[in-house]
Amino acid sequence: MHIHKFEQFWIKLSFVLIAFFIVTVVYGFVAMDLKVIGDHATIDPQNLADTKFGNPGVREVTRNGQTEYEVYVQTIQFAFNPGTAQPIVVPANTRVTFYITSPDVLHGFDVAGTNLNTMSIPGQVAKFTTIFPEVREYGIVCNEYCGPAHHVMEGKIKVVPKSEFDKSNLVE
Amino acid sequence: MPEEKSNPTNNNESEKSWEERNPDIVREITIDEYQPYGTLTLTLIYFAIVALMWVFMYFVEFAGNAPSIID
Repeated sequence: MHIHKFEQFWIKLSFVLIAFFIVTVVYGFVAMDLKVIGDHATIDPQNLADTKFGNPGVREVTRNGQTEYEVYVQTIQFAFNPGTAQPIVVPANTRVTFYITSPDVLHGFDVAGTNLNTMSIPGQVAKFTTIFPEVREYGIVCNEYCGPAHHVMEGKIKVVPKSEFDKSNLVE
Repeated sequence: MPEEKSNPTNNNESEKSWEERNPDIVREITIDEYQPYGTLTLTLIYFAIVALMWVFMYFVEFAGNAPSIID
């Protein structure tokens, strides 16, 4: 079959473009160290009370000699606990690890305007670590349809300066 | 086709090639002499737009959207 040379050229160009997409994605995950949510753990969604999710909130931990924070969040119809009734308060420029799960149905945990975004699946624990670089408030929205009041399911993360972080609200 | 409708019984006419039915064609060229530089230019512009928008979406809108997951 005879293919016109211009056509040969732009068919080759299409393959170059696909190769370029693949190279940029590989570069992102290898050289720029981008991360996505992976498998962390499974959990019995009926018995969250026996786990750290039974007393959700911000915990202080020491890892590698550094003070870090762990945030356990339950996503329920139709609130983040904590997050909705009271904001999740964390210090800036500190490692914060979120553990998120759901006792009822599928939810989303999307920190609006950032790359922090995970599904919250009954029976699965989503885990991610981040550092909030600036003092400000972030909105959390549920981005997986979870029922009739899904559209009002939202919460807040309040990032405060390290020096103003009130440790009296931490949970044990 | 309109040509066939206007001459439904003329078999001789429909057996002729398109060129034979259009004798005012001045010059016939082979496929490689046909060089659509306009189409080539549009294709290159299109590829450039796709590549630039990809770079913007991936490196600026996605990777630059801190805070990100670090672990």
